[in-house]
Amino acid sequence: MYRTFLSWRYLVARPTNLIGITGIFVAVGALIMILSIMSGFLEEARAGIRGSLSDLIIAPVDLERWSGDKREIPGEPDRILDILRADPRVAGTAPHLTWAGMLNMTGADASRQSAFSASSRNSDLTLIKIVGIDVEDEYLATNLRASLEREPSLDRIGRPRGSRVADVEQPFAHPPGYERVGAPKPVILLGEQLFYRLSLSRGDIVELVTAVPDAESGEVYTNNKKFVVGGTFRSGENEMDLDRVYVERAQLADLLGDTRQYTEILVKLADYDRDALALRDELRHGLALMGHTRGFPSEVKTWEEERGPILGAIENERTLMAIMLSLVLVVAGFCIFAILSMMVTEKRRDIGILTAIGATRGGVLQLFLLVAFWDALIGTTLGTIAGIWMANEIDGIERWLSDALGVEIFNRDVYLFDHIPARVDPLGVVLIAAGAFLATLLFAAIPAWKAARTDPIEALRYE
Amino acid sequence: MSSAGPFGAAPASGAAVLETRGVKRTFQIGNRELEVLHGIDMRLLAGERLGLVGSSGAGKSTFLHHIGLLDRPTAGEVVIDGTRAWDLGPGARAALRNQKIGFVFQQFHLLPELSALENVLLPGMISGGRRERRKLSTKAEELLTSFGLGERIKHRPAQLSGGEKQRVAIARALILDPPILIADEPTGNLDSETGATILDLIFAEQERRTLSLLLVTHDEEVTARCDRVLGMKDGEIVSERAAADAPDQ
Repeated sequence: MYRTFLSWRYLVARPTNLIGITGIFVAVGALIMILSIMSGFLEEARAGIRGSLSDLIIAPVDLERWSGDKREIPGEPDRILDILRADPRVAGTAPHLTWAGMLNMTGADASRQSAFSASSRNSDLTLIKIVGIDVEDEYLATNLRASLEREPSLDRIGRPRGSRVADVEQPFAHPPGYERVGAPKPVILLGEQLFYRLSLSRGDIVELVTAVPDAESGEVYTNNKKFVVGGTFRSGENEMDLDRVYVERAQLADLLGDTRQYTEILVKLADYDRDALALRDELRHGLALMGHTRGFPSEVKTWEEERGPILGAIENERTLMAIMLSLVLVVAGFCIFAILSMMVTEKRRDIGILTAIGATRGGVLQLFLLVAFWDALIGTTLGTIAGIWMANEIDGIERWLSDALGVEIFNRDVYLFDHIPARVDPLGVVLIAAGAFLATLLFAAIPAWKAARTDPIEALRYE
Repeated sequence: MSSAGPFGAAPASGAAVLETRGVKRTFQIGNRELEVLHGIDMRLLAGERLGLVGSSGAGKSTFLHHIGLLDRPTAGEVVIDGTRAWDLGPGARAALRNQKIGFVFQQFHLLPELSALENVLLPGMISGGRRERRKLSTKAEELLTSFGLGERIKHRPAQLSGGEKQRVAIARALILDPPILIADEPTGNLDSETGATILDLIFAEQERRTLSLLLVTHDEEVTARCDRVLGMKDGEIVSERAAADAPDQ
C-alpha cells in the first residue's frame, strides 16, 4: 500500500514528471489520430475502388485467335456471360469495351479550358480512358448508379465540380435543352474531376479521337466521333474521375470500327468473401480450357489483385506512419527513463530509510515502477481521449489550422475527398495504449531495478 | 581477536531480545581483505538500556548496520527474539526489521514529501494494508500529541525544527511497538537543551514500554543513564561496565 501512496506523492511533488506525461500524451494522441486518418483513407479508397471495379475482372489478353490462316475474333462475350449468369454465386455481370483515346475540345468552347489541361498538353486534346458499357448490366455489376446519383463535390469557393445526369435510369438520354443539329449525337458521361478541369457544361459537344491498328495491314488509323455531354459521375476515386468517360458500348464499337465487342467482363458476386477465390480459380481453369483465355493468372483477377499496388501503397504508408510515430513513443520512453533515473538518484536516502524500516528490494522496485505507471496512465488516458477527439474533429481542426496559417493543409483537389476521412479502430486504440504502457514500463524498469539494488547503508549516508 | 568473553557476556538475569554471536565483517579492498568487526558477541536483554560508546572509526555504525539487518556479516550470526535473522529470506528479514526494531538516526531521516503524521505511519503502511493505516492513524496522532506535536501533524519535515523532527522520528520508531529501539547518536544534530529533551523522551518511552534500548553515543553523561555500557575500539568490544561504574563528571 505504501508503494501506491508514496509513488503518487513522488509524482505530484516533482514537476519534471510532467515532461514524461506530456511525451506519452503527444505520442499516443498523434498515433491514434494519424492512424485513424490512414484507416479512414484506406477504407474510403477501398470502397471507391471496389465499387467501380466490381468483384472479379475477366480480361483476356488477346481476343484474336487464328484457325489455320483464318483470323477469328470471338467478339460477343455471350458464351462467357451465359456461363457466369448460370452460376448462383454471380449477382451481376457487365461486359466492358475499354479503349484509350483523347477528348477533343474543339466541339466545345475551347477558350474555357482550364490552365491545367492547356499547359500540360499544350493542345485541345486530353488523354482519357473510354469505357463502353451496357447501362442495365453495369448497374447490376458495379456502383455506377451510385456514382451518378452522388452529389457533386464542391470546390474551394463552393461551386459544384460536376453536373448530375438528368435521369439516372437513362443516363445516355440527351440532356434537357439539347438542340439536335443533323443526326443526333450520342451521349458521353465524364468523371466530375475531368469535367471540372475542362470547365465543361452539360450539353457541350466534345469529340472522341482514338487510334486503331488495322488487323490486316498493321497500319494505325484514327477514328473520331462527336458526343454530347450528358452529365458527370463521382466515383470517389481521383484517378478514375479524372481520366474516365463512359459511352454506350455499341457507340464505342462503332467508333473503333472493329468487330470486337468487349475487352473485359466485370463480375459482381453475391458473397465476395466466401466465393471470390474459388470462382476465380474455376474461371481461370475453365475459360482457358474453352479457349476464351490463354490461361494467364492476370486474365481473371479479383478487384484486390487488380488494385493491389494502390491498396498496398496506402497500407504501406499506414505502416510507415505507425513506425515513425512509434519513434515518438520511444522518445517519450527515454524521457521517462531520464526522469526516473534522476529521481532514483535524488531519492537514494529515502530508499535507505524505507529499507531500514522494513521495505524489501521488491517493494522499492515496485515503488519506482508505479511512478512510471502513473506517468503512463495519465499520459495514455489523456492522449487516447485527445487522439479520438482529434480524429473525429479533424475536418474542423484542419480548417481552423488552414485559416490560421494561411496554408491549405489538406488539398481536397488532390485526394478528391470533400472531408478528411478518419475511422477510429477500437482495437488499434487498445493496442496503442497497451504499447505506450509497455514501452513506459520497459524504460522505467532499468532505473527501478537500480533503485532496488541500492545499498541501504550507502543510501543512508547519502546527503 | 574475538571479543567473546567477559565484555560481551550479558548479565545472568533476563532474556536476550537481541544477540550477536561472533559477528565478523570483512571488506575486500583490491587484493587486500580488511576486517573491520572482529567477531563480536553481544546481548541486549529485555527492558535493558545498553549504551555503546567509542571514538569515531571504532566500528559502531558498521556494527549497528549488522544489528539492524542492513548488512550481512561475513561470519557469525544475529539473533532477534530467538530467530536467526540471516537464516530467513529477504521478505521475512524485512518483516523482522519492521516489527522488532525501531530506528532513530542522528540525521532524523524523515521523508520530505510526507507530513509528520504520514512519516509516523510509514512502517505500518509497509507491513499492513489500508485498514492497518486507518487503525494506526489514531495511534500515530495520539503519539505525536503526547510528544507535543499535536499542532504539527500535517507539517512537512522542512517546516519542523530539529527537535520536532527527531520527535517525529521517535514516534515512527515506536508506532508498531517494537521490542527493540536502536538510537544512533540521536542528539548529535541537536543543541544541548533540545538534545536533553530528546533523551528524556527516549528514556521515558523506554521505561513506559519496557523497551530494550541500544543507545550509541559518545556522551558520558548519557551513558550514565544506561544499565550497561559497552566500549568499542577498532572493531571490538573492549570494555563493559555497569552504569554505577560511570566515571564522575
